Amino acid sequence: MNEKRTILFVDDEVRLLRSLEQAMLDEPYDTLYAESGAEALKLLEENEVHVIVTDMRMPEMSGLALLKIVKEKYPHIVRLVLSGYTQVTTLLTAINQGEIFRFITKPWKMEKEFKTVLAQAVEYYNLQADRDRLVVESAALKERLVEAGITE
Amino acid sequence: MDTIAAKDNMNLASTKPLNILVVEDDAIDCAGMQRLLAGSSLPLHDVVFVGDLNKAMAALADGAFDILLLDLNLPDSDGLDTLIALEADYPDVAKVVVTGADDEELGFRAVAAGAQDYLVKGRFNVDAITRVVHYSVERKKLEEALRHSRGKLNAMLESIRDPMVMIDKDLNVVWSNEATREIFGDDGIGGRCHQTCDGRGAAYRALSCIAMQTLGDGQPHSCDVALADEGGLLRFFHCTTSVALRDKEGNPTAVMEIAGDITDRRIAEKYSEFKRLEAADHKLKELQSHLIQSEKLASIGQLAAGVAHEMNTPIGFVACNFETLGKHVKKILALIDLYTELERAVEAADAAGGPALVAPIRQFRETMRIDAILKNLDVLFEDSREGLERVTEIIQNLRDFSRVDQSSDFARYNINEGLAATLVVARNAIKYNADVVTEFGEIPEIFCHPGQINQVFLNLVVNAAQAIESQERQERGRITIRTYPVDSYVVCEIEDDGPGIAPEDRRKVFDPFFTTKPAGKGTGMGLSISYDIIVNKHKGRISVESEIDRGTLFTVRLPLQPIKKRDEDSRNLLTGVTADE
Repeated sequence: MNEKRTILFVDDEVRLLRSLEQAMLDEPYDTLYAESGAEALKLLEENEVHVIVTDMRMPEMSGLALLKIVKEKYPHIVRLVLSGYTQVTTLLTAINQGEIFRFITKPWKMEKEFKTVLAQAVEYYNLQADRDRLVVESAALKERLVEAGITE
Repeated sequence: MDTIAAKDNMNLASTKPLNILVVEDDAIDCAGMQRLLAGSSLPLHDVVFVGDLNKAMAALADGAFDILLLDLNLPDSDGLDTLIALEADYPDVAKVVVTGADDEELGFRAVAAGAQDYLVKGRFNVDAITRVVHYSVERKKLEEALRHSRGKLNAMLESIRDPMVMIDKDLNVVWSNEATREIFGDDGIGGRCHQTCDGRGAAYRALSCIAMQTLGDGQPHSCDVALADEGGLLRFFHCTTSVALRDKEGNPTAVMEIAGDITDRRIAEKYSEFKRLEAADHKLKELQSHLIQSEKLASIGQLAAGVAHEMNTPIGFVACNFETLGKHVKKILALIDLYTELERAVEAADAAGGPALVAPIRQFRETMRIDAILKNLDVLFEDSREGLERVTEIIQNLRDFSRVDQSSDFARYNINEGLAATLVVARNAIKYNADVVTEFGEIPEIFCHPGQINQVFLNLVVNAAQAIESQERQERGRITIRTYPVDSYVVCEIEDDGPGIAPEDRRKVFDPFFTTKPAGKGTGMGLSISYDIIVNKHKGRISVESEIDRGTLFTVRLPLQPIKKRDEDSRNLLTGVTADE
């Protein structure tokens, strides 16, 4: 069984973060909340995060800028967007430059939509992690087999 | 003209016996003349002798003479005056002057003054007089015929009511007709044609001067020109030029220019043009009001989009909180249930003042009507949840309505396919109330946003079905969908036999938030979004016709031509993604 995963939410609207915090009470995840891109980056340094959900339009650092940094520094983190802006240009930019996993539009449906997407994101992370682990394990196994002289 | 001349020639050829009047005061000369005439081969009818001018006049007044043999020096008249007097009154009688031997020069002058020939006394014989008389009579007849036909010709020219001028190769006006004088008050003769025109408001342009062109190439030319008439009134003329005279080599030396007055025609043309402009203006005004309408909708759309975006976040967390709150309340309710059990247990224990402990709780519960509140909580939550959902839907619709959110994926699309797909989607909404009849025509593909177009069709079809449903009638309704091409458009008609739209509502159906559906059934955004999609995004047209209790017909017209602006947008999206931050 996989360990508990950590989700980081980023939005400049504190009430929205509080709302998410309440909604996430019963969910099987650890959650972190940041009111800006800078705060999010700080939290990422201090914590192991597996999924990030960010707003697009924020002062100082936009969601897209944040996602670009995350993609570079923490490529394993699954990236999601929660935004009210649904312009095609915005969507395309987010997908092409931020390589995001899902784009959730505001307002959202918590049970039917949001939690499902979070579960998918976590599952995606787990699958990725499993795959990476299996790759390492199979490499190690192979090495041991070679050492034991069973194969070349 | 040729015919007249030919006829007169025939008269000349006849050998009609001649009536001759001899005017001579000298008896000897008279006798000599008579002898010569009698001896000539001339066909004579009558030869009359008179001795002076008065008697000559009287004789001419009495009878028709073919020729006068005239001695100029008479008792009552002298020299050329005699000839001139007779020529003035009887120009059609041939005249031969008989002069003295010492005055032959007078004979020349007499011929110049109108006489046909002259004889010198004592120098002519039978042969000479025969020849001279014969020649003079014939010549006079020829002259008369010529004069006659020239007169006719002139009368014909003058009877033409269009100004005509003859222009020589130096562009001088050498002749003009009566109409020229009547209209311009001036015959223009002697002046140069362009100077005459310049004085009348026409700008002289050497290149386009049709008289010069005709002089140059020998071909007829024409042009329209405006000239002020005698009274200063501007008139329009259609001028044509053609070669009037040529030199021996055939090069034009003079042109005739005819100016047909087309002022009335011009006025008629201008009037019909005015009418046409008036109609166009009317159309323009109509279009303008349409434009204002669509501008209004566009600005409402932009405003709506802005509002929608602003509302996304608060509505987002309110809705989210509400969901969470519902879950929390369920837990609290469960807790209250546990407490209620505890309450009963404490009361029943009857020990340690149990009832007294419970009493204030009981009292609070009753005063605050807690049981009723708890009973109604579910309904309260359900209603509020639905309200929030409706607000969410409106916001999403507003967002779709806006230009800001417009998608740019335009593509070639056959709307027949779109309609077929739409009908599959809408089947559930239609099947209980109406049958659908499709009359799809052969239509070309159009450049459009298929998703948006289908949204419009869906809207119209579902509206039709709902309208029929609202009648709660016995028989099934009928929705007819037609497509056909018109010029550079593809037209789609969606018609129902439902209740129709009241005349006062027809103008408002495309307004945002206007709906006749029962509360909660429609947001009033469907048709205004459709309008925005068709009119603003696709540069097409959507219109409605309706008759109460008979049905409603929506007509969508979509242009075939791609929208250039959109093309560019699509390209930008494909080539380089521009961040919207």
